Parts: sequence; C-alpha cells; structure tokens
Amino acid sequence: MSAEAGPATAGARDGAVRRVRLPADRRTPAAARAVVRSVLTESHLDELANEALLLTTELTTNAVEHARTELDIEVVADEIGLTVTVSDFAPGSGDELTVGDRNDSTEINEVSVRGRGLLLVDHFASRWGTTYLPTGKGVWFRLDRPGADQPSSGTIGESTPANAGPRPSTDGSAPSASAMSELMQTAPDLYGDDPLPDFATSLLSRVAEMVGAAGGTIRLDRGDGQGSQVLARFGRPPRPGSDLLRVPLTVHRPYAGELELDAAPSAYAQPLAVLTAERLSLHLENDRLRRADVRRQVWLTFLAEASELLAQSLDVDLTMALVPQLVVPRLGQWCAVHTTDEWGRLRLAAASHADESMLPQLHKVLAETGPDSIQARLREASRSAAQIPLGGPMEGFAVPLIARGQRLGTLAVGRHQRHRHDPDEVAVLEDVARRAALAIENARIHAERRRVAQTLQQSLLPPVLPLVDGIGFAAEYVPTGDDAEVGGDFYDVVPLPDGRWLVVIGDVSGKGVQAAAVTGLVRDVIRVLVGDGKPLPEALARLNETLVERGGGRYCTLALAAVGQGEGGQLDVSLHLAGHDRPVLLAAAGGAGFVGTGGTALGLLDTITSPTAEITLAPGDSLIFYTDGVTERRRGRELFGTDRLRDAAAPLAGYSADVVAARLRAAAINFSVEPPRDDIAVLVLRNDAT
Amino acid sequence: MDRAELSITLHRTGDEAVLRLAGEIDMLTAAQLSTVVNEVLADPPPRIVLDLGGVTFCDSQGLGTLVVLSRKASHAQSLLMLTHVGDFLIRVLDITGLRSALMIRNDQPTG
Repeated sequence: MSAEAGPATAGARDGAVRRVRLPADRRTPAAARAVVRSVLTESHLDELANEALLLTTELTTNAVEHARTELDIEVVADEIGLTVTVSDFAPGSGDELTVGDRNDSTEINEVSVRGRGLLLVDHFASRWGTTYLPTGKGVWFRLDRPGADQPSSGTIGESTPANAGPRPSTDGSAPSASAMSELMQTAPDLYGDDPLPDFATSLLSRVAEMVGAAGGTIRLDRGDGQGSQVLARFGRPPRPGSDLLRVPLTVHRPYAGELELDAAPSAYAQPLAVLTAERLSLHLENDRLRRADVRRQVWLTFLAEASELLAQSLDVDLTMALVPQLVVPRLGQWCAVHTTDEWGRLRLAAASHADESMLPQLHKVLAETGPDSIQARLREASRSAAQIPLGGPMEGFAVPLIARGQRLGTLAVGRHQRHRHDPDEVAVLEDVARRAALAIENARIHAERRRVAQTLQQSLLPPVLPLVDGIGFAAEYVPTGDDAEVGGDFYDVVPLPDGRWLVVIGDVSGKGVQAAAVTGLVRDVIRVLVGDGKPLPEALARLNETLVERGGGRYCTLALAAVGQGEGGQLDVSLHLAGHDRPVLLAAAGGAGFVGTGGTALGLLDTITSPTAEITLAPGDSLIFYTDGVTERRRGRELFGTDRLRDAAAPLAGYSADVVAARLRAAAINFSVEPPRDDIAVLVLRNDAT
Repeated sequence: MDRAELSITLHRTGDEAVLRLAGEIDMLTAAQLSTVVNEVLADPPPRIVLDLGGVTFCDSQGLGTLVVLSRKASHAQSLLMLTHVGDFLIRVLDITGLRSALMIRNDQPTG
C-alpha cells in the first residue's frame, strides 16, 4: 500500500462527519480516540474500531510530538468505512513522515523504540496519504469494512469535504476524469486584487496531488529587476538530490518562469505538469499584458506632466533644477544633470537624491575624476550620444541630452534601491531626457534672444553722456519688464559742428527687434544729418522722408534740443518737438512748467511741421525730457501722467541733473508695483554755470 | 469514556513481580508504566510479568515502551514477560515484528 496525496471520502453525504480541534497535549490521542469511537458507533462500523483507534492515535501522536500546534481531527464515515484526517498548523512540517522499518531482530537490544506509527498506518489503512494545506499539513487514512467494494472513481460524488482534494491517482493509474476537469476548470478570481498567486497555488496543489508530489514550486521572474520570485508553493521543500520534475512556463519576455514538482517523472506526471504550466502561462501572459498596459498608461501620464512642466520653464537654470525633481524618486534613487559648456566640458547643473543625507556623497562621487569616474562615463555618453551604464557606488546609467542635433549635456540616473531599471523605465528616461533637452534648448534660445535684445538696446543708447563744461547731462533708463522685448525708446547727446550740443530723445512705435532697427535708423540719420550741419527743421524733414520710405510703417516721436552757451551764463536752447511730449522746465528759483510747441510725429505724413521754441536756461535751470514710458506708467487704470511728473519735478529745483533724473525715475517706478510695460527714459539737461 | 486511562496493580512474590494493567497505553500513560516497572527493577526479581488482560488499547508508543522496559529488564538480569496479550495487539506485534523480540506467554496462567 503506498501513500497517497489526498483522502477520497466516498459517499460522505450519506455518512457522519465529525470535526474537532484539539490542543497539542498528551491527552489529545485519547480524546481523538473518543471522537472516532463515537463516530464508529454511530455509523455501525465497530468492526473497524481496533484499527481506526490505533491509526488515529498514531497520527495524532505524531502531530502532537512533531507539529506542536493545535490539531484538527476530521472523521468522515459512511456505510463502508471511514476516513480520518489529522491536520496541524505547522508550516513546512512535511518532512518527518517516514514509515519506519518492521523489526526483524529477536534480540531486544537491537530493536528500535520508535518509528512504527506510520508502519502501522501503512499496514492497516486501505489508503492513506498527506495533504498540504496553506495552513499546515494533514495526514489521512481510509479504513474500509472488510470485503467492501472499493468505490470506482466514476461513482464518487463531488461533495468532497473541504480539505479533500481531487481523487488521487491510485497505484499509478490514470488520473480520473473529474480530477482532470477540475484542473482545467480552475480559474483565477476575476475580481480579485491580485488573483494570480491564489490561482497558481490552487493549480499547483491540484497537479501535485494528482501526480503525488510531496511538494512543488512555481517561480516567476517578471523581468522587473526583482529576479525570480516564488509565485506559489506547495508541500515541503525538495530534499537535496531528489528527482525534480521541471517544466518551463510558456510566457513571453520579460516574463520567465518554471513549474517544479517534487515527483518522479512518471507517465502522467510530465504531461500533467506541462498542461498545468500551459494553463498558468495563459493567465500569466494576460497578467503581463495588463501590467504592461497599466504601466504604459502611468508612464504616459507622467511624461505628459513632465512635458508640461518643462515647457513652462523658459529659464535654463530652472529647467535644469526641475529635471532631477521629476526623475527622483520615481525613476531612480538619484539624478544628476550636467550641461556642456562652450568648450564642450561637462558641468554639474543640478543633482538630487531620494535620501537627502546621501546628497553630499553623491556630489562627492560626481566630483571624482579619473578613468572610471562617473564624469568619465558621462563624457563618454555625451561623446557617443548613446546610453551608458554607470557602475561603482552610484550605480545607474546616463543618457545624453541632445536637442536639434546639439549635445547639451547628460542626464544621469541612479538605479532603484531594490532593482535595476526595467526596459520600460529606460525608455521613459530616454523620453524624459529628450524632452528635458528640448526644454533646456528652448530656455537657452530664449535666454539668447533676451541677451540679443538687451545688447541691441544697450547699443542704441550712448554708453556715457558727454561731459561738457557748464552743461549737465543725466539720463535714466529702465527697460521693460519683458527682457526679450526691446523697447523703442532712445536718447542721445551729439556735438554739433557749430560747437553746440544736440540733445535727442525719442520713442519709436512698437517693440521688438524691428522697432529697435528703426530706432537705430533714426539715431544714425540724425547723427549724419546734424553732423553735416543741416538745420534741425531740415534734418527732421529728411528724417521724416526716410521713415516714410524705410520705416516699415513705424513712426517716431522725437524731441530735439540744440544747446549752446548764451550770454551771462545762460544756455540758449532751440527746442523742436516732433509729436513728443513737452519737456518740463524746472527753474532754479522754483516752479516747473511745460515748454515747447508740438510738431508732427515723424513717419506718418509726407510733410511735417516742426516749430521751434527758443528757451533760455538760467544757471541752475533744468530741462527735463522723458518718454511715454514715464507718463503712461500705470497703477491699475490710473496713469502717472504729465502733471504728476511736473509736480514730482518741482521740489527738485536746484539739484544736479543726476539727482533730478534719478529722483524722477524713482518717482515713476514707485508709482506702481507693476513691472513697467514700456521703457522708461528720463533725460535731464541742466545749466551748470555758477 | 474511561478516564481512568491506565491502572497498574503490582503483586510481588518471591521470584516474580506481576503487574496487572488495565486501560489504555499511549503517549499519556506509557510513562506511568515505565515508572512502575523502573521501581520494580530497582530490586529486580528474576521475572516480571506484565498482564495485559485489562489493556483495551496500546499504540506504537506503548510498544516502544515495552521494548525499552524489556531491554532494561534484561540488563538487570530479569526477564520481562507479557501475558494475556489481546488478539489485535498480537497482530500489531506481528506487523511490527516485535512479537519475536518480546517474551509473550499467553498460555501461561498468572499467579
């Protein structure tokens, strides 16, 4: 009689079932006997009493001695016999089950004392075996009435007790149809959170019981960097050197796995194991595809969010700082962004580590130089424009940052604490690197544009105003808040051939590079014309023609003032206003008022009027020019306005040109908390004669 | 249910000690049997008779104990003998192969 893998409790629905849980106690075998005895009496099976009580005692004693946990005794009786199952709750206690040898010595000193329990079970039981439950191990035996017919598998009811598996294959015969169908019909719980382990366990235990395996394992490597994991386990771990039946799972990369059964590859075991592996593989494939799908969705969302964040940043430094924040800790333990400078050298721009306390060490490692240092590897990544793995204490890999064919630097990412990057993550990181490179490139272009605009603007203003004896010049200039937009304001102080000085302040309509080009045109035309000694009205008329022809529809307001020494320390000023706001005359004695007569703005009409106003500046008097950036400075709906400018100027009587210009600039700026929408220019001309 | 488990009565005559056992021998009661026999072996008679006539149950632990006690008796120059061994226990002894190793005298009347 060989051990079997599961009790077949035939006809249980007609008989008595008794289950008790007993402690691990020396009195437990007696209690178990009492239970069995009562079932035997009820079921009129007293003729089996001797055997049943003995075998029950043997199994119970074994369990009390070895498992030392509570025991469940289940007695199932029917008209032809009974099945007793003793289960314990000890994990992995399946290996003490050995049927002892029958004694064949007549010398008492050579007789062993123990190990006869299972010998007796094996002898008396019609069938016996073990079941491995998630909670522990069960050993069962079946006793049939002498002469009772063995029920054939076809007549067995499906109402098996909870711990009764499918019918075991007896004596190497084929597995029953019902067992096969159960193997085929086992399906994962569709609504379970993670139904696969349960499903795998259930399949494994069924196939193990069918082939009489003492144990089995299903291992699965999901290719997520965690290596091979046990998906399901059954029975006891295999003994070293025992014959194992191994079947690979037919799953696709990156999944891989195998089904292992602690059973000899009998005629049925091999095909059954293959069948089980295939059945499981089908569901694993499903799981793989579903997980891949979910992961991709998550990554897509992440990439979309990352793109949006990166696109919003037009600041190179901010973009650099943003990238590690996006990557850590989602895509790696740490992240470092290096940029390539104009000499092609890599410079650390930003770094982050999931563990703040590790940041100094990360910086230290990043600062290392040498053939195997991270720096060297990063250079290689940048040079080869390909992904490069990083070794050493800060394991990970580096991706080059390339946008529009330009090598901008590298993105280095440390591996996760537990596992390496999986292929999906690598792809996502490459995508992040691409997007980051684009964002960095965009921010760089933006910064470049801003630099160009500022350079252009600076070039339109005289670097320093001339120092002239007796005449004080001072200018204040505030570009607009938007650095990339060049305003159309300009000012200039030019010597005239007759020894006088020409003060120019103007404002070209519009903004940007085109406006700046027109501004340059206006400034240069004025310089050329007045340098040739043209009278100012003629110069203005010629400038007007030029703008109408060449200005591209832009127009310009201009204030021109030719300043020369007059009599008695006075300054004589010829003032021409071409559509420009009238300057403020600030008398040294106090009092401020607007002077000048309005003329036509330039570039609008074919002919212009340019009346001249002659003004004399007494010593200490100032003439204040300004652009509409000053008067149109806004506070909500309120404008700074010309009157407020005049009132702000009045108390400044007698101050030097520098002070007046600076104070008025401050007054205009402080008028509102908003950044200036237009350039602010203030130019002060003062009679410094004493 | 017979909670008395195992009762042992000891009769000592000149060259033999007779222990009448009644009840069940299993992991709970085997120690009790050992204790009594060990006491007898403190002053070993030539023969120790275990009368199993009242034993309703004996498992492999009980058999193991009988083996141990037989061995001790033989070391003490005494002979441990079993009488009134029940049919089922005889079967068990046959199966385990212990019948030939233990001294069984079922036919012998006990004193």
